[in-house]
Amino acid sequence: MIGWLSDWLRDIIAVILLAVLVELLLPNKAMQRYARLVVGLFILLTILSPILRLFQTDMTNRLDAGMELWNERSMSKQVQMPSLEEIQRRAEDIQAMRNEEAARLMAATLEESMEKAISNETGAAVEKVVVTLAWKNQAKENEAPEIAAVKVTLKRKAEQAGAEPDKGHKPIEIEAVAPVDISVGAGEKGTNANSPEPIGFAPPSKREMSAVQSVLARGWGVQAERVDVRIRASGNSAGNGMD
Amino acid sequence: MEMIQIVGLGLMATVLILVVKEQKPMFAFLLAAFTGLFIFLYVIGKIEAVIKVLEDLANRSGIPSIYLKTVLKIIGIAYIAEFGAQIVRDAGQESIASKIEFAGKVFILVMAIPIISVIVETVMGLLPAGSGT
Repeated sequence: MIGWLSDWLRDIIAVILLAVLVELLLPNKAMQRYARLVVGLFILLTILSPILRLFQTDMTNRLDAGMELWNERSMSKQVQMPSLEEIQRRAEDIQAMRNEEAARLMAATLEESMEKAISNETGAAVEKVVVTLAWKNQAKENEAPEIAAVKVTLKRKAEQAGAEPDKGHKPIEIEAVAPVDISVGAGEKGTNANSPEPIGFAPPSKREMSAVQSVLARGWGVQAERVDVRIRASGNSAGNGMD
Repeated sequence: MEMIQIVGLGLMATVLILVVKEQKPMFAFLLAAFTGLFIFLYVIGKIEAVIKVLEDLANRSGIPSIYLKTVLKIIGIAYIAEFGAQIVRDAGQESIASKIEFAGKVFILVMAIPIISVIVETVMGLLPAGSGT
């Protein structure tokens, strides 16, 4: 009984000493009022501790748990900044998007200039040029992409004539290129180019092919085997032109 | 001897500030802020001894360590808030200084939340009727 009493008294005295030191350490009066409240609560807890111990034993544990919980909650509230990995990943995403955008712009520019050059130098009517870009190695995306494939779609001269009526040329040109069979190869090329009508293409003549290839090789250094030239078949185009 | 150093530093800073204040109030303020910061950092290292004594007292008497932790946090918050408020007050922004002090008070009160909740819970548990509800 005496031992328990002396323990209790020692606790109270220690807490009060602590309170006095805190009062001494605190910088100004305004803060002291608030700190005194908290320290007073401590003293209250210490004085009440025998009574509390009679009823429930684990008061300090609960206080501990409450403190921990509160600390964790305030911590989790503070740490809302994204981690470094997340930032880096986002940066990579953005960079990839930017590269893609740049490649698309580059392809569009190339297509336009190639179309102009081909129609200027060979005199063929160009319907569409599709440039596919690729990076030499995927890891270094900073370096400029190279031209992986060029698909040139030429308009048949006949169609051009149909579009802007010039009766003299019409029969001759049809005779020149028309009889080309629409083979399986042509179909494949059509599907590769994801064009709306896959079968409506015919392979070009040697002369046109080599002319286009030489223009592209001279202007952009595109190797000949990467250039794919085809001609829109007369049937479809002519029908469209008539309508 | 350290006390003399600090007082000397303070006197020097005061004279310099008085000299500079007429021409450049901005530099006077910077000088004051720097001197205050220096003294604060210099003394905050000395306060370690006091904290050691507190820890020793707590260990020897069997005060729960959570008491000491909370008390130290309160002291730290009070000092930092007071110091910041004084620097701001030196610059003439009385209202912002009082806001900083207000924030310090709020944080000290927030420290008391777990203690208050524990006391309320246990008191409720003591009451026979309170335990039923």
